[in-house]
Amino acid sequence: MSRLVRPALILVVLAALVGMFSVSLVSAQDASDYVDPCLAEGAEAGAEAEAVEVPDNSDISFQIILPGARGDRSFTDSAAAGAERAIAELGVDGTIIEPSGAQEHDAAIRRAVQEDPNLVITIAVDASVVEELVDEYSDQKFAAQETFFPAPPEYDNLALFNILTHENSYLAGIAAGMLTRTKVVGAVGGGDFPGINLFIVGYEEGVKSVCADCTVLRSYVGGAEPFNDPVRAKELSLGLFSQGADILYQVAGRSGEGVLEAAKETGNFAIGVDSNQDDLYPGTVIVSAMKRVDNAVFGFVESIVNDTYVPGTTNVGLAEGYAGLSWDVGICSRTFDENGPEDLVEKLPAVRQAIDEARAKILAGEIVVTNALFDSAS
Amino acid sequence: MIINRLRRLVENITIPVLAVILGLLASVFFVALANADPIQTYRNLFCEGFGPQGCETFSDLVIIRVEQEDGTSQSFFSPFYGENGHSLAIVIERATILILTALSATVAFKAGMFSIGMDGQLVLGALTAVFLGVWLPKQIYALAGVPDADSAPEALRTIMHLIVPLICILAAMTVGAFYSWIAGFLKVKLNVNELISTIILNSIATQVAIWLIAFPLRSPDPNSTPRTDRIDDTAWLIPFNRVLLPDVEWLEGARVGIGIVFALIALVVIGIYLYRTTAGYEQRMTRGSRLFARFGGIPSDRAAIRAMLISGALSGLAGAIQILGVDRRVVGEFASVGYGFDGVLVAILARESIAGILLVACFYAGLQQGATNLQFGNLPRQLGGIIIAFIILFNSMENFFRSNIARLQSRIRPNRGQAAPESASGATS
Repeated sequence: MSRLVRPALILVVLAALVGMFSVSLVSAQDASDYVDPCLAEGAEAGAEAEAVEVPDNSDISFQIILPGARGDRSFTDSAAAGAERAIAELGVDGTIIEPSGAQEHDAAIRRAVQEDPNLVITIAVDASVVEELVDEYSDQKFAAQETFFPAPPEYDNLALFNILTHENSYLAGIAAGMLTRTKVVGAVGGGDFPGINLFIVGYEEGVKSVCADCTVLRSYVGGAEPFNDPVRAKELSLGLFSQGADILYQVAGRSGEGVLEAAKETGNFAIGVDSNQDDLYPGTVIVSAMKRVDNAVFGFVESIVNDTYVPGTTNVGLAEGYAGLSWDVGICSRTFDENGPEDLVEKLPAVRQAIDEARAKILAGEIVVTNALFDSAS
Repeated sequence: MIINRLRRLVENITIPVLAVILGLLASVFFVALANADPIQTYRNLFCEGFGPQGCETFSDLVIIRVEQEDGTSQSFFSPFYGENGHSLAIVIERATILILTALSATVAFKAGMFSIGMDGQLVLGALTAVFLGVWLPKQIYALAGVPDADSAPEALRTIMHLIVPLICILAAMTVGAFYSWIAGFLKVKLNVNELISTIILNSIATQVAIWLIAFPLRSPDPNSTPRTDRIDDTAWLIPFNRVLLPDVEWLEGARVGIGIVFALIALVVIGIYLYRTTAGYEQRMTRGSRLFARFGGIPSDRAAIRAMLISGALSGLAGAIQILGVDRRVVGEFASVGYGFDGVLVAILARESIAGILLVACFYAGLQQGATNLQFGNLPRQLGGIIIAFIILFNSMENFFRSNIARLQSRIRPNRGQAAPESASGATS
């Protein structure tokens, strides 16, 4: 502990001195004034937590079809976690189905419909499959997450929910742009398609907003299993690191584990995605751009329990709390503060302040982040 | 003689059943690990795989009692009880491709070529079918001066519906046959081991397929998984329950179409080819010994190449039917599913017999189906795979069972001892 306290003391003294004598370093002084909302409210939130009685809704059932097998510690696991939370907290009867791949989605959904559940939830199932089944089983309520239609579909029995992640990726980009030592950062995506570029374009804009002369490298895993190929992702990451990048943003599901591992091995840094991945490699993963798929799934089930199911398309993002960072209030991951190298940890308050400012501006509409999903030109 | 044949029949039925039971017993350990009740798990496995809707006990697999609306209950013979769809329909859907790939393997094996190139041939065949299924109708519409598929005149669509799938299938078969021919040519001319060459050719085909699906043939729709466009409706081998037999509830939820008819015809044709024609005889002799067959006046190289061509064409057909009849597009993962390898497995388990292929393909398809759907009983998906693997393992111990049965018989009735080894060796050849 004393090893941490002493440098910290010296820092405080230094910061005070610098602040007194130099006016040009106002921002540094501001940063030291930055009050971490997590530390301020964290204790309170902990005390508020109380045991909630689980209601009995066992007559309500749902089936959720995941895109593939669980175990990516990212997107798929996040969806499954939401389903498990719904079963535990809402007391409903739920079944989680893991098909072996996209070729089994159709059969799995058909089988799920035969169970006659109140709701069938599909995660990242192809639009044409969803459309066909929704049309065929018009009595069955469906909820689809992460299914991209060319035009918004209109069915009475389909609730479509898209989480847009360009804005929180922008915030993650600010962190990368401010923390990079080499002025080169990178992103590893599952494949070169709009759903993934949504993240990467936002991230690039975030980096450029704080570090205009930074270079952002891109790499895509691709192949037959873009989201399930950590070995290839690791090779790509090692390549990016050897090109001088020191922070990589991974947007590649389970493949992303390879990115994190490569960062750990080479002593570089990474930014996690979808789930809170800060604790997978403490001190290596700076922050995670979270996509609350779990909340979306939970919300679907809740809408059935509360009888508030509404068909149609809903797009949510940063403003609605479905996209954010693992640093945000509520999750308050501070793993990197405790395990990261000192020179970067020092900068964190300033980074957080910049992120908060950018977030406010995005919400106010002063910053418009490119949405690569709707604006496919980028 | 009759007694011998009868005993052979009893043996042929007992051994697989015994193997299945032993496989289930061996997997009890893993079922217990997953905190599940073995009996219930196996009941789910078979009900999901082979049972009608509402199947809950083993007896439901044979006779199911259904409560009627007026309170009385009525019994049905389960395989024919099709309310809300029947698992057997999905078994047929899944078995179609297995039958064709198993036949493909069998034809190659019967010429002494241990080719396992079905996967590569199948994937290339599927890509050919999907490319033509998308591209060809567009060209025809353009030629006929029709702006898009919806405004095409009914007569044109009917004609296309007859021709386009046929062209797709023939092209896929040609591509598959050519790809298989490479391995045959390498074997005959350069004596390259066909096992190695087909493994390598599979890998090349898979990589090419992945690239094709990810770039040139990729659908422009926003989507996170690489996939091709969907084939035009006129190239689609429409499942029976969509058009021809819309009222047959038995077929509901399954994509059974003309494909199974193709598979059954292929079974018969290949059976006749192998056992009733000179060409088939030639290739079976070639299997015994290439050199000996050549000295006996059989053009064994030609027989081997012919077998490879037929084998490849069957795999190409399998790919085409899977795409035109079931998937309607190729998804990136298609290249690595391993339908071809499942076919090799079916062929080996069926001891390369034609009737055996039909039975084993259906059984295997049912088990796969049941295993996947074990998840609907909240069991981990990997458990089903383990159970299938054990059942296959014990089934492949057929020789061991047979010799033990023979030994048992000779011990009980020593005077029949001489007959037993003969039947054992006869059955394995």
